[in-house]
Amino acid sequence: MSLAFLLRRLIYGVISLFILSLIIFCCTHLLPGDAATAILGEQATPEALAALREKLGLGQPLPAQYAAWIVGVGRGDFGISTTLNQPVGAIIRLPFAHSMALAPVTLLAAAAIAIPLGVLAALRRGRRIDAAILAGSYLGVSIPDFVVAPLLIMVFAGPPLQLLPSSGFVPFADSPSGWISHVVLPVTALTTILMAHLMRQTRSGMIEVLGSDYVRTARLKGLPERIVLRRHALRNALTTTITILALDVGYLLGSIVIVEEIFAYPGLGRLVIYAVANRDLPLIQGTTLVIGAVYVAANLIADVIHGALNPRVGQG
Amino acid sequence: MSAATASGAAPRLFQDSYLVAGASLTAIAILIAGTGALWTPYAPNAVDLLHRSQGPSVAHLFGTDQFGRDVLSRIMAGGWRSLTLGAAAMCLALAIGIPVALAGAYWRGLLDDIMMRVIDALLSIPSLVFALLIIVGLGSGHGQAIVALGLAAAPRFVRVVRGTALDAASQDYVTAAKARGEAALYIQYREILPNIWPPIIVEASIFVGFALMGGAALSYLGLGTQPPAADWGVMVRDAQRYVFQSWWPLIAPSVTISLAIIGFNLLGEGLRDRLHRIDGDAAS
Repeated sequence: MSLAFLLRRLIYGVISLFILSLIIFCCTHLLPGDAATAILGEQATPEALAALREKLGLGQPLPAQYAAWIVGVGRGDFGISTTLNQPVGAIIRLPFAHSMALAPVTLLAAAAIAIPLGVLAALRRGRRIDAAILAGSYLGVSIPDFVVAPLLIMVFAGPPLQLLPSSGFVPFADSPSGWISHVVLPVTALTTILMAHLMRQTRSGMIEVLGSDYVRTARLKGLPERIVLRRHALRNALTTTITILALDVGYLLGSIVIVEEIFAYPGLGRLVIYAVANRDLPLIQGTTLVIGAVYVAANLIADVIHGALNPRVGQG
Repeated sequence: MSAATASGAAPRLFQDSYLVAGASLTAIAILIAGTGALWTPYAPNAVDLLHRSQGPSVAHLFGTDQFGRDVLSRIMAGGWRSLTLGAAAMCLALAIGIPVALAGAYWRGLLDDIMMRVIDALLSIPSLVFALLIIVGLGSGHGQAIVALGLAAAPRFVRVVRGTALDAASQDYVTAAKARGEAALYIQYREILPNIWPPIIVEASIFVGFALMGGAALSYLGLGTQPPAADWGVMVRDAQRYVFQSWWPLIAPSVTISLAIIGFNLLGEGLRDRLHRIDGDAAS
């Protein structure tokens, strides 16, 4: 893999984040009317409004406000939350860690189940097993997360089973078993959703590889089908799958917002909902920027792995 | 499905059954929602404290919720709200996506490059989070949810439409139109657009299902349709709190919205398969 390739990917990532920060800033500052009134409501006293405007720096022109914000972000200073009166960076830290505990477990579980099934479906294309897997993934993709999660609660947390708590959170340090019991249902909900998507993507990726010229060449060379699949098809399908997995991080981040809210899991997604519902502008900016950064980072990692596995991409 | 064992003709039958199933589910959803806009068995918000949390009966086919409101009536009335949201958000996304994509694919150049970078950045946040950002600016409500979902989906449509428009722009008929001296906008909307409609329709159908999900999700989070108005997301949210007392009000809207989304997805996928086959037949 060439250094130029790495550098270019890195620059793309930074540009994406920069544009994203501009978009976030525009969305939070193009409120119809005055942001301070929007936060405090129509009944706020003029003194309170003036104080908040001062705090948010609303007196300055927009470009200056953006510059002040983005320079602060560069130093790790995301501003002060208007509803919690604490630095946004400090508020985000713990929920971020909580969400990041869910994400890898979900990704691994989904990959472990979905990739073999997706490959199997592609190999048995048009057969009954393919139809079943495809139908299952259609179902999984189409059933909304806010339907899957309450159903899981109904079955596993409600009578008669009552196996798991319906919502909440216990820190791992306090009680590892308590932590696990609170994490099982959110992870199951997220995995169900992600798995369906990943299964479908793996299947179509594998079908594409199976139809490609080099697989045909390998077959025409007279190689046994087993070798063709293992050495040629699977290896290349793996590259595609890694890219898909990274793209699915975005999909996962979207689901996390809803699933965390349903299970009252104190993660980044729930914090976003809190920030939006309470119109806490600095907190909204901080949380959405962090979510965007996670996605950009995941894609960067996928690009690098892709480049390492496929020399042609790595040189470009 | 039992016929789908061998390659060849059988999978075609299998794929067409997707199209048929999708079209049927979609038609049923539209029928229910359309009826719900005009007539419901009970007033959807009518509280009946004597008949709370009841299971299905002749009087209440889908039972009643924790306030004694008729679940079927609320599903019908909410269906209209959910489906119009999906359709309106799709129209908005297309109204933005098509002109931007056509202009980019036709003129290319620096502006197109910048546009694609912005699109990439927009696609790097989950569309639900993007929709939430727009809700921050607009406030919550049914109309606001439409605008938020439509705007949030526009980048994806630009991507899809631009991709196919790029292929079309390099075709002979476009070169011919340019040689004839046709105006740029004429070529974009009269030459390129009619030729790329099929993939756009496929994407649009799948997006309606997606927007149904997104709109209901926003309502579920309390940021879309505001109670007591019925909406499939609001219904799931309301019912979830009382799920341990009665699960029927949760199951009914959950199944309804899932079936509707499956319907739009299958319709889109079925259409896509059909188009591929038509293309394939034309090529061979």
